[in-house]
Amino acid sequence: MSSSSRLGGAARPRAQHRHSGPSTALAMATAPASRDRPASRDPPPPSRDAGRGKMAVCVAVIAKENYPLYIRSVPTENELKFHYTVHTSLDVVDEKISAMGKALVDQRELYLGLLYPTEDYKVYGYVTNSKVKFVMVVDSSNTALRDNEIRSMFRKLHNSYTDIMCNPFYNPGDRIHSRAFDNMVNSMMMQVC
Amino acid sequence: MSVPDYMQCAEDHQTLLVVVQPVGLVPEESFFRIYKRISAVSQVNVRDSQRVLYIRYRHHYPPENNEWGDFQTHRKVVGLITITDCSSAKDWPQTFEKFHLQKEMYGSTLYDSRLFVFGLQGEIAEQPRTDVAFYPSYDECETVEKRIEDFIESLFIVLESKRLDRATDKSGDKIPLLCVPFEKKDFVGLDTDSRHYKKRCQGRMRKHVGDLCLQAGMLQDSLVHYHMAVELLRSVNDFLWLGAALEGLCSASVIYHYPGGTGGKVGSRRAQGGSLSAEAGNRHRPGAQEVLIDPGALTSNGINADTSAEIGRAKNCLSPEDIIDKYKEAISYYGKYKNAGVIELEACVKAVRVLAIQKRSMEASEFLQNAVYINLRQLSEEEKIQRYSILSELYERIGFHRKSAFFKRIAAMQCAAPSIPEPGWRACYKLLLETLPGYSLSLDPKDFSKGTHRGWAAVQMRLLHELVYASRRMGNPALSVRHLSFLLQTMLDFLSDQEKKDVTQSLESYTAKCPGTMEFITLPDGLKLPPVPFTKLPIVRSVKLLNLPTSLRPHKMKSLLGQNVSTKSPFIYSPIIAHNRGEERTKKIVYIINGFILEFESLPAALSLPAESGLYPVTLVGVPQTTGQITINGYHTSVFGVFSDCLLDNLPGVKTNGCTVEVIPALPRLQISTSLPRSAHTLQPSSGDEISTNVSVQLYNGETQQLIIKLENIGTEPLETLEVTSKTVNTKEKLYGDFLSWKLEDTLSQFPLRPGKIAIFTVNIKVKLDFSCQENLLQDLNDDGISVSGLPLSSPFRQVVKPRVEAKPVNPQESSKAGDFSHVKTLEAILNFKYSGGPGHVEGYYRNLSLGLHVEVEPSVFFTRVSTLPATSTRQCHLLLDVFNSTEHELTISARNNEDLILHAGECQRMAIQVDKFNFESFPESPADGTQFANEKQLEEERQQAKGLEINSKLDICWKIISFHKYFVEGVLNQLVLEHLQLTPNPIICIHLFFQIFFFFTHADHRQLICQNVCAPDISIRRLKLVVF
Repeated sequence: MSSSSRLGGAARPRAQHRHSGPSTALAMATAPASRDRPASRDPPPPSRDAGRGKMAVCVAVIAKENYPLYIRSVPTENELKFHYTVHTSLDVVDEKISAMGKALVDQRELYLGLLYPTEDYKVYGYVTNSKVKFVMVVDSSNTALRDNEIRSMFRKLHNSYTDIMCNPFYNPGDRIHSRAFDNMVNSMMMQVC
Repeated sequence: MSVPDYMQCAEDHQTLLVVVQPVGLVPEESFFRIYKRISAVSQVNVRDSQRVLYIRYRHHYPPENNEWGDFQTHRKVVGLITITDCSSAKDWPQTFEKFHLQKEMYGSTLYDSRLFVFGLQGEIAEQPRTDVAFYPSYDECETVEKRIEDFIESLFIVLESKRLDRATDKSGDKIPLLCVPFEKKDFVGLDTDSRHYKKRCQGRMRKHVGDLCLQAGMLQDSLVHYHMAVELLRSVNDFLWLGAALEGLCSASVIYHYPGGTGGKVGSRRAQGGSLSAEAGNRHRPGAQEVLIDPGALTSNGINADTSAEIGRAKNCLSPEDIIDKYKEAISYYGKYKNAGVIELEACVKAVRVLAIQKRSMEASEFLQNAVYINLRQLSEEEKIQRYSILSELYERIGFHRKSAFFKRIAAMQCAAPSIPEPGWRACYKLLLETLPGYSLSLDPKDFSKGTHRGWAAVQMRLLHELVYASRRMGNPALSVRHLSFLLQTMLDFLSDQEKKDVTQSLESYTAKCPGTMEFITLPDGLKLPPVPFTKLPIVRSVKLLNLPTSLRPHKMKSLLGQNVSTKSPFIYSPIIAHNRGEERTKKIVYIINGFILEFESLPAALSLPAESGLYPVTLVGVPQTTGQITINGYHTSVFGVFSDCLLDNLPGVKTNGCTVEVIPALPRLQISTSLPRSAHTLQPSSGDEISTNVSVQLYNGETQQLIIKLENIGTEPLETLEVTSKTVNTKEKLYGDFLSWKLEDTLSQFPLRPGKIAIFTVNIKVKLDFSCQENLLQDLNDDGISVSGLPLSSPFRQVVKPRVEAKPVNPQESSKAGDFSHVKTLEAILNFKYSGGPGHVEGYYRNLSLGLHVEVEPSVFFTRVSTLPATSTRQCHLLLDVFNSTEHELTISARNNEDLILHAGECQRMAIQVDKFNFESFPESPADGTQFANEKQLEEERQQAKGLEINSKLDICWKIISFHKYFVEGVLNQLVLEHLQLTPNPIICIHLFFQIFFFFTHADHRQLICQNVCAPDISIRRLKLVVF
């Protein structure tokens, strides 16, 4: 129905006169900002001006029990924001998973599609058969990114994750500290040349 | 219209809005008491009909919202109830005037109004009035409900008349254009006669009639009107009103489908009427004529009042799916108008409530997402909080707990936003607490003790930080300490080193004012915060009970109870091996074993574990105060000013199978101190006993020393019994005579020993080792060619087999020999003190204290060679002893009837002693005749010893060191003489045989010669000669 598509679209023209929404309220949080990883492992943040647009601004791998196994975002200075974005997107993931729970396992589509759009970002989801979730946050200004590209990025992510799981020294459920995975994620966050 | 009502739901469309307001000085409490009673009358069955009226009461309603009353009639204030306090008739006119002023505020829309006057009595109150009710007081107003019902009926009459009036408008009449406030200026100068304009008027009026029908309880009629309105308005592209008509359609359908209500709290408000309304909905319009309509068949020329024309066609109620589609459509139309933001927002909220009931969370989230972006105007802080809270509530309702928590948290932050002059930290804290489930965080540390942490640590940590901060700003330091400890305990693995430092520093600064306790903290709303024991700070790897040191360990007296099994009772002891993960800075840790038994006094131990220390053993000591069993089930720490009781059961990775301690009655404690210096050398007795004290002494061979032992009772019980035993351990040396001897009687006479008293116990130490040289030494000294054997009988073989040592240079060896002689031998013995007293003695327990005695025996004199020469008298002979002084001092040797012989250091001299010969037969054959010796050899040894003693007493050889003034060392050598003789068997036999034979001749009764070999080795006599003296 045409009106239903308008609902989603209705949000965008409003962008100019939006109220000071959740993101600004976040900045008012009182506690000291936390940094998760030592600086040495952070990739050099690619500069914003260099490319046309990023492929992804945040990539997260979430365990079956809904805690993060891996999360990496490009503007590292506001990492917590992405934590919140990804965390709240899990509601949608859960909902989508429970909705397709009846479908046959082998016919199940792993790609969950757009989870929800926020003011500045679009959040996409993907769930493996073992209920490990991949969440990718994309800049909503990046219109060049098609659904198919998102799909292939998720597939790459899934392959890389499978490689990690094949590592006998990796304990399922632990945080992912893998150079190969880092590199792969970095390549996804790099500018499109 | 700018104030959204976030609590709105679809059913509100069928309600009549009544405002209840106080006028003048009405106590708030009384007002709300009356308000509560009034609002209880929320639905009324109108007499003579099956219709039900629903009333929505508000005590506050912005008049600008009222202006939208034509757009959606449920926004219109139709009734006003004013409550006033009037005590005297004088005030009455004034009060009544106020009531009229109040009426004017909503005047344009009011159907009817009432004034409830409390406190006024008398003439004025007597006169019957419909619009005014008098009550003597707030307590005496039984008829309030009845009054309200009457009031509602009067509202109904007006409503019904309006409905009929509007619905029966002739199509030819000019229909007024209904419009919302912001539209008014748009229609100025419009051609009112155009077909387009007329249609617009018709459509809007249809929609309005639909609203009225819905309010009047005619659900099916309203559906018909809405359908017609939709068609009319769609054709003229009147989007705002089309949206309203669609929404009306949705509302009516929702009311039909979900009689239980969609509003949650609102639903519960009318819960008692829920079943009634459902029934009412079903049996609405008796005769069950289904109002059916074919939208296509609607006449577009004017409003046809007779809806029955459409009866018998398709059902006009929307299906649940359609409701959502229509809502979407309506909202998209509203979205076209900036001024209809509130309407759009409320429609979104209503749609979400419907979707929540339909359990279509995904679509609901889309509506909510849209609602988030609806910009109203510059909201006040309070409105923002309200908005975020309601978003949170709605997300919660559709099962999006994380999103809900997210918005609630933002609402909480908003409460304490810097722009607010007086931040509401209390509200902020309360809201933050409500977000906990959304972040799967409970404040019970037990939930985190099982296995690894599962949860989104980054966001949980942030929330905890905020809780800490909010509680601190609230002025509740105990709470912030509790939250901070929880953060430290549960998120330790996720904190970086710097964060750990920060957290611990702030914790320490908080606890400086308010130490952390193990009490539950109960919040005003009843939530209980369990205590947070720091089981990870430090980490305890293993726990085990340590037995008491042996000297304090109680033993059961076997004889007393006839028990063979001695109960080895572990007293009270427990070590904690603490492991500090090391991330922390240096900190003070105080452990106290806490048995959680009152009668247990634990001794605190303070220690400071450095950061990144490895495993660090900690021993904790406690003293039980009563007898019985004590179970050690935890420990108590104070880390960073937070007191924690850590139960061993809750420690991850620590296996303890019970730490049970049996406590027996008190026993005295004995402490011993001796006159001798303590020894570094510890005895390692085979039996596993531990020696509490070790003393050592250096003695010359043959020396005697007194050991004075002070026995001090350092316990609290009197010392009643004492038994002393001694045991010589691992001595390879052959020891002669009593090594240790004592007289216990002197000591026991001082008993019972009161606590703190001292008794003296004296032990004599006698060292008598072999004074002979070792074989090789003997041979080496044998350099002057003097034959060993003084008699022909003496071992001839020995001379033969002995290698000659002349080849060796004599002099250079002297020095090395001296070294050999100074070879120190050690003697070790254990003195055991078994003691008991007090109540423990009654129960049959005793304690055992051991004193280790380490004696280093330095060689003094050696008898390098022994031989005999016959003396002038046949009853005597000369014993020739070659004496070697191995000490570094000058010493004298004396024997009975002999001159002292002075020996310089390292000197060897021969001394001759004239001795009487013995009659060995006069000895008893065996001192232990009755006892069965294991073998003959033993018997023989026994006999020899007796003989040796006899010889000793005859010879009485002594030595003393002259230069020692301080210690006059005196040694008794006699034992060794015989021993030496015995060790070199041949000379003994010479003497012995000689004596024997002589004996027989003097008693010449016998002509035969009886030879007796008294020595152990077999001897062969090769030459026997009779000598007649």
